[in-house]
Amino acid sequence: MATIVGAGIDTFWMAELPAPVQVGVVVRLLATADELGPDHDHTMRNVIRGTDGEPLGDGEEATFQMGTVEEVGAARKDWLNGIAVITMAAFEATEAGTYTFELVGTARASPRPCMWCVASRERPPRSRRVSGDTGRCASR
Amino acid sequence: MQSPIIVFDHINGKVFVAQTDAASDKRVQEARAAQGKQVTTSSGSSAR
Repeated sequence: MATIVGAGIDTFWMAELPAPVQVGVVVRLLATADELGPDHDHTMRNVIRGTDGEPLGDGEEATFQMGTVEEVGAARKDWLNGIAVITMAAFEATEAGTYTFELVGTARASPRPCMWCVASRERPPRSRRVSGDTGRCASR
Repeated sequence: MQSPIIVFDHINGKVFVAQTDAASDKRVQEARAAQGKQVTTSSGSSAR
């Protein structure tokens, strides 16, 4: 089971394209005690989809463990344990539009969250702007 | 519970994972005991 912390839409204003874009997503995982520990590998794949919905490249996959031996020993067997996985992704935006940030976990308790980000060459009219650096897109 | 930090670098085709391991946990505890203040450390590994 997973929760994306502070998920939303980020709008990046680029002076020119192509340009590198860096986004961050924190995913909170809930795992049973038998899924924890340095002996249990988990994988998480990150896929960026371009404005046409097609993946940019093959995606990148990371292997990680959740919890030290001491932490696993202290974990209660009858409760789910929370783990915050902090992820950052960098990719090159080649054109203005909507890009998808997707995380795919192969562990039993892993997520399939996604996040949208927009790279735009020109600022939209004031009435269509998003309030703040991070927020809800009013319209496209 | 430890919090892994994962960097997916699609520009250079690299992945970086940093997370506290048991050895560094022990070093942190020893450092805290010796210095009486909070210390953090982590170990990292890279792939590709």
